[in-house]
Amino acid sequence: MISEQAKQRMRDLASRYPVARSAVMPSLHIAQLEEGYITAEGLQAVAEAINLTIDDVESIATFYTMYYQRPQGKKIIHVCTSISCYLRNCDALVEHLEQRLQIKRGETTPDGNYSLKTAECIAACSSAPALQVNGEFYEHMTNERADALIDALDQELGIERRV
Amino acid sequence: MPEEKKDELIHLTIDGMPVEVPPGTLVWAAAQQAGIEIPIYCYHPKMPPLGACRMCFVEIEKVPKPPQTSCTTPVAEGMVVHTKTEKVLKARQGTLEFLLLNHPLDCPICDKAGECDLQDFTLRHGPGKTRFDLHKRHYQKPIPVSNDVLLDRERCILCQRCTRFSSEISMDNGLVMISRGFRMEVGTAPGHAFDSVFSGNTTEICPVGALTASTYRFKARPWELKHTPGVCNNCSVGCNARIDTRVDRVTRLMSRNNDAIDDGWLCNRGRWEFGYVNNPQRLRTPLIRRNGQLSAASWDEAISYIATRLKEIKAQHGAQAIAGIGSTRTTNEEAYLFQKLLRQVLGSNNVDHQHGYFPGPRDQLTGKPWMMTNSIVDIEQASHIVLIASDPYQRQPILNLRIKKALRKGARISIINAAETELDRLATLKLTVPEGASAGVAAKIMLKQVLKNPEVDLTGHEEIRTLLQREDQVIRAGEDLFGARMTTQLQALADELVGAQGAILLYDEMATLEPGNEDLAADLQAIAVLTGQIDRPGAGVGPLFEDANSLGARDMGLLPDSLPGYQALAEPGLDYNEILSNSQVKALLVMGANPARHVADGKLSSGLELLVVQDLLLSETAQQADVVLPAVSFAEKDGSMTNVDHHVQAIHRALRPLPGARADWEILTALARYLGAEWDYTHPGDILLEIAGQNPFYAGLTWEELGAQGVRSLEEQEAAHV
Ligand code: SF4
Ligand code: SF4
Ligand code: FES
Repeated sequence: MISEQAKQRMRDLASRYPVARSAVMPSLHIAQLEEGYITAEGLQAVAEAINLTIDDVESIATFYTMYYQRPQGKKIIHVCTSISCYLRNCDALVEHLEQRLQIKRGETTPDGNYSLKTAECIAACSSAPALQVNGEFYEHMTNERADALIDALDQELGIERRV
Repeated sequence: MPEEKKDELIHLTIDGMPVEVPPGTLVWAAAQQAGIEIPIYCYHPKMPPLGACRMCFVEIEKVPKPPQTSCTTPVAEGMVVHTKTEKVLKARQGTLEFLLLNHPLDCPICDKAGECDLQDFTLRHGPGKTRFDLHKRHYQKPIPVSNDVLLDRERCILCQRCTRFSSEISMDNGLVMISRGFRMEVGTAPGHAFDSVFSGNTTEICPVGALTASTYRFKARPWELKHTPGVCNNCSVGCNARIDTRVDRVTRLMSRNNDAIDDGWLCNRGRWEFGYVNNPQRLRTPLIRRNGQLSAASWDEAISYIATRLKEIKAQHGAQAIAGIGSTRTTNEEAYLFQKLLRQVLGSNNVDHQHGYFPGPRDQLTGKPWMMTNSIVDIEQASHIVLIASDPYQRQPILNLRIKKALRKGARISIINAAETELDRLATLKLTVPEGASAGVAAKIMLKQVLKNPEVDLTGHEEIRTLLQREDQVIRAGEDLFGARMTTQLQALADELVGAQGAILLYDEMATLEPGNEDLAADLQAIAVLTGQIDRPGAGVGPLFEDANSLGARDMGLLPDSLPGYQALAEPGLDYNEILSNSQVKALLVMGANPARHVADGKLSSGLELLVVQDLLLSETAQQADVVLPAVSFAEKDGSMTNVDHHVQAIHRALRPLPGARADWEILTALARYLGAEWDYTHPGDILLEIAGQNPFYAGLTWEELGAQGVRSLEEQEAAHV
């Protein structure tokens, strides 16, 4: 559900720009924060707040990969696969995480805890390979550090043991 | 060309040919003007350039990175352009090879094949074969984007013409690009339909067979179609259309650009609603009621029967017992002959048609006939547009696009309507007329405010104040209903009009028939006159008429109180409602109208001794007739029609007339001759000549002169009175 406060924030944003349409991207982020991904209701709320059609909003929401079209895991892991990370073997890192989480890149674990994604440059070239978990950076990644990270996250999420 | 103008032109060379064009012209358009074809996909002359498809490459000397896209490059003085160099040809080949990578090559089952730019350009400019030997991408095909339009994503070349039409022209933002990169496709929000009344245009401008019309799919191959220049018959805008026919059937209407009227677009009603022309129920023989049953008769029998009965009734009850109801969809020539038959041959002024309410044939204030004083193009120049009790999106759709064009240029749109309208979303001001109030009283509130405005010069118009004072009670009651806030908004709007650079006020003809709107036409005319919003560019006022020839019908004197050319009659005949209710009327001639829809319980007066109906189908009225005469549609005859801004336009026979049916003008001529009149018209052009000789608004017009785009004849030409 998109809360009334969220809708109000969207409307406030819209009134801050000379052209209300400019508020569409921050409003989509608000919708995504509310529901974890862009739902039909989220599209509708943004369209109404900014006076756009929902088709117009859908076009924007699907253009940018950081608006999610499906429910995501509680922890969203973005592994950078751009040039510096690539030279530092991010491929192996992604494969390792795929093994560890038992999902392919782009997927979400059936328990809804993790989503694994690859991303274009996240501006951490000097400490490649790098990844983000819900926006937080983890750098100089190795398979061991990745395992440790997942262990810590498991703990945080209260996951007993992964097979 | 005047000297100064010439200096403003930019000179360039294209393929060695010198070309002169105004500054800002795109290289593509300059080449076009010089007769040099440059292939395009994404560019469309009615929309801003995008540069997405990379098809329109040219080489421009001294530009560092050839080739350039000619659709995004404006001309410059001294520019030297080459459109056929090796580099250019190679680049075009490359673009085409890419566009065809995933293309299903299903031309044999594609509606567009034969008029497809992808097919044509591949033949002309493309490589003969592909180097891509992997699997092509597949999509489910086709998927509906609305009930009327289907999308085949495998054929789509992502030129974005359709989606830009939706965002830039129709501004409904209903059809959009979804995702990006190789995943990009045309679509809508999930579960949402692209249900714009303009959606059909996307099927026409799609350069390939990706968007197809459900009504036309698999109906014809383009090379089998015969094209006839015509005019849409479905509303008063009079959009120019190309009528495409195949073996005695209309298959579709396509746009036929007229910048002054349709700007190159058609609405879905115009494009697809011609089913009645092809209807298998069309009448193919005259019918005469015998023993209570309508049964087939020959034309001679039917016409002589009508003539005899008319003579008898006239002898018995006098000419005043005869009346006629004409049509707003037949040609000027037919409307003219219809009233001429009634007036001159039968001697009755009881002639009318269904129309809005206007006080007298002309506006008292300006002396002008009731019609929109501005042109359609003027709408684009307006700074303020007030739509009062009118909804062009539903009723005169292509005008809605013109209003949006004005909007894009910064016009403020104000809407006063009891209902929601499509334009509300884009309007500066929307005032919802409350229950019990009317648009008419809103107009009075505004007029009162205009009279109060110190900048308004009342000289010569003092009587308006006196008239309005009598309405004070009504206005006060109206203000209560509208409430303080809306009343203030109405007053502010009125004040805004006083200083506006150019304001246009438009109301629906038929809204004048609603309770409380009796003075709507006169009051809005007064507002326009007092605020000076009339007779200058970007300003005007007037009714939006209902039908393709609503204005023509008025011009032709299909009115009880005026002869052709709005010459007022001292003793008017019966009007529409009177004809239908007056028991003195014994004989009623109906041409292309269905008055049974406007009488209680659908039954015409039982006092009628003769009811003659000319129509295409056995309408409710025809079912009650004594004689039914089968007529032909706009697609089967020649003639002229007069649209909402008084463009007189020619329609042409696109189909063989349905066997057994006749054009209304032929029917009227035959009947007049039977009644002893010496009518010898052999073509509508002859009738137009007669009209032009008498009607000051048509002075000097000839059939030939109407040409492909019609003539806007607006000024009353005194000299023409003969
Ligand atoms: S559907 Fe047609 S008009 Fe629309 S993007 Fe595809 S090819 Fe272009
Ligand atoms: S706006 Fe009117 S005249 Fe134009 S295409 Fe539509 S129905 Fe026909
Ligand atoms: S037509 Fe010029 S880039 Fe598409």
